[in-house]
Amino acid sequence: MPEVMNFFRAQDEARGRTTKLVAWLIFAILAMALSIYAVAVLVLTYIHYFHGFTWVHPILFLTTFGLSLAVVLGGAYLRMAEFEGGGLLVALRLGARPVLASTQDLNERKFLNIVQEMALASAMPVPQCLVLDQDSSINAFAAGHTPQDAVITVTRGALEQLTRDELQGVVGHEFSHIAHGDTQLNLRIIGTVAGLTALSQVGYVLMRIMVASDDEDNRAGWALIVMGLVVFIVGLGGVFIARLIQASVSRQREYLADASSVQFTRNPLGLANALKKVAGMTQVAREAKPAELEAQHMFLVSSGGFAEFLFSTHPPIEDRIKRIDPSFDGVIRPVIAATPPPPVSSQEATVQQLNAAILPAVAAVQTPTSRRVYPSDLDIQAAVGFHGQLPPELLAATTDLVSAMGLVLALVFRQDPGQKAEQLKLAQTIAGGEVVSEALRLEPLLKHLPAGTRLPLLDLALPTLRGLSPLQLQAFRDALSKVAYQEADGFRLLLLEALMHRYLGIEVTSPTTPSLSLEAAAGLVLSAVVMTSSESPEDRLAAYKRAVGVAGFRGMSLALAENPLADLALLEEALVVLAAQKVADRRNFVHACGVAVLYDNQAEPAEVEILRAVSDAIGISLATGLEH
Amino acid sequence: MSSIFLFILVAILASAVALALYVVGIYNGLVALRNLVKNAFAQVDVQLKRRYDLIPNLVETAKGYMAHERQTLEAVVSARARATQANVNVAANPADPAAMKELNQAESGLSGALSRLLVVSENYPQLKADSTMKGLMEELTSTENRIAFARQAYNDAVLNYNTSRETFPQVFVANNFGFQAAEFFKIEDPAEKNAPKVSFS
Repeated sequence: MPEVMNFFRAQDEARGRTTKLVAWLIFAILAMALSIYAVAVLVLTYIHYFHGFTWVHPILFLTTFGLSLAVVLGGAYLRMAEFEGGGLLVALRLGARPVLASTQDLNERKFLNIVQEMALASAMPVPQCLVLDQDSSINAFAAGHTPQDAVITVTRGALEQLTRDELQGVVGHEFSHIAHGDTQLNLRIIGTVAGLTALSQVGYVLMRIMVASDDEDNRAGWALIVMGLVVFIVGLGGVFIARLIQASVSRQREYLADASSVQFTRNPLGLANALKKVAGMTQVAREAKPAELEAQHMFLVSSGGFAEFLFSTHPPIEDRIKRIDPSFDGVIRPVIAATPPPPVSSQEATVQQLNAAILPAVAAVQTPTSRRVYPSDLDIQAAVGFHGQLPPELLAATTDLVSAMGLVLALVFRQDPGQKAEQLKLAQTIAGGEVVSEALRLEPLLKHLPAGTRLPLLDLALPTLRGLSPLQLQAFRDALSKVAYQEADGFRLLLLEALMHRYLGIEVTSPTTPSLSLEAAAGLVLSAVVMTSSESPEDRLAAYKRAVGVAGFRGMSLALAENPLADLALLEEALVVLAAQKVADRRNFVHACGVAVLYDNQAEPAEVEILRAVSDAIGISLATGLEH
Repeated sequence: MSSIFLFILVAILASAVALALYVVGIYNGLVALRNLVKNAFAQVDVQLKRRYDLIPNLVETAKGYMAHERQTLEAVVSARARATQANVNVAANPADPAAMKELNQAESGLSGALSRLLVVSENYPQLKADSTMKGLMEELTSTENRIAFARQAYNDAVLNYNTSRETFPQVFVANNFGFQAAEFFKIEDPAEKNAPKVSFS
């Protein structure tokens, strides 16, 4: 097992690394622009354009320096703008096809299941899944700015050639890229490389224009040719340096992602075997399309064709295998791409059937490590993860757009019959009444569910709602949250709002301008978290006090707020206040809530729900500590 | 070569670069919106396929009771075949307006044939009482509601894309780089079409 990683710390490292990298690149670009200016001065002096030699030529400085900067920044901006729309658009551009939740294809089903299991177990948002149909090699990539808009794409080859364990290892690797913010890091580098490429291209064009117009026989024409050549070469040099930096950073991130994959899946052999298969296929069928080649740093393994050593964005595959599987003898067995793989091994199928047949009650999850006074981020993350099974019928309902809406509606039905009738009336027009009939059909099924299953069901159903158009989503939201809050509805609505924020990018809004102070807001929210547990009053108070110490906000009351869940509007206001704080403070606050929840080393389902609601509402991912 | 020449050259170069960057930006934006249209069709596609799968069962069940209505049944079967083919073409490229138009017509034809079948089936009380038929009818109605809903989301995406490509300055990029207007997915309501026209004249 590799060292146990702390995601929050890995996040910070990634961010620090990004800053350093960007600083270096900016420095390099400035140096390049300066050198272009210097060459321009020398050339123009040489052709006696300037009389007498001096380094100071303000207008020339503005034109050369400004122009080269504009080209680099413009090119970089353009390239980054392509990724504007988030991971989905990047994947679509590469020719990937979204896997629909209702897919009947066995391999795609397997892929979706793996992604869902892993997301639920690590309290990460369920990413959208895509397949590159045309690609028969084994590969995968993750894209997106944040865990919220992240997508995971695998090639058709990976789906067909890998076993469930191997695919799980690969998915875990991509999950780690998302969790560590690598996709964002990549984006910046891609932008810079594109900007520098644009610079060298401008130089090339300049050179060609002057060479082509040969009617000028004086030295000025030659001077411009030389200038173009210099710009071309300087740009190329910049690309070279940027690629070197990109490759070295990227290789480190690959090792980290491999190690985290093992941590996610707790099965080193899965990823190791997958990598062995990839290595075995190298000579046979690892050909990338041009578009993929351009984006190769995003993939599980680089596609070859590039110089392997310096520019390779990925470490040598044998080395990667050795790091996760020390027993690896270095012998790669060739894999023939054409062999149709066994679809699902029989053993696997029986295990799945067994799992589905027995619905284990979702017991309060014990923290995995020995008794600790202060739980780490990892303990908290492990405690909020869902590891149980969901009934197949409900699982099926999360996969269809309309059924998923019905499921969400049924999960947040109001207690009050009048309000429930109002909800039903508002939802009646959606999809010709199908949503309401689905909600009523699913309602009895939900009644007998253990308490901890509500959250994972919402986690699975809400991403499906991304298929709604903005207008449809608005209508659905209206139906969910009409009528005033009532305590009897619990914090289900709070949870729902938070989840909508998480999956659909909808802001949590407070009706009035917040009047609460930060200390009061933090105290109220923390009290709400503590009060959801079934611990004794003394334990609750002790948990609260400990969390106040961890949160580190000055002036927080040491007494629990009375009945914090009574006024949900006030609680929402408190969350808005907290959401306005700095990332580090918010993260710390989420950590404090986790400490309170794990005071008795037990995370009850209700506690997990409110912890998730709080973290999602203030925009901190529990799994990664990343800002939403 | 005078300094003015150099200055003009640099200025032209600068504006050319700026213009190129701008055009590429617009181009990328249009590609993104068009991709979202394609993506939205996937949702419709699922429901359409579900309906295509239901129809053979429906026809098979109906056959047992209404052997004399061979023509009506055959019309449904051939309309389904046509719609399935049209759907395959659209699924290959949902942004192709010609293929979408064909699907519009085929789907309208299928809806029409189905509604005629329903009208005729009113004359067969035994068929209406058949439990299999009842279940199939229920599922058909539900699927049609879902199709309508998914179609709405698709049409929203089309509207978004079409509006963008008709707006200045996108319209220049759209026209020069072959961004065709996407076609809306409209199924003519057979009930409306077949409703008897009442005339008071």
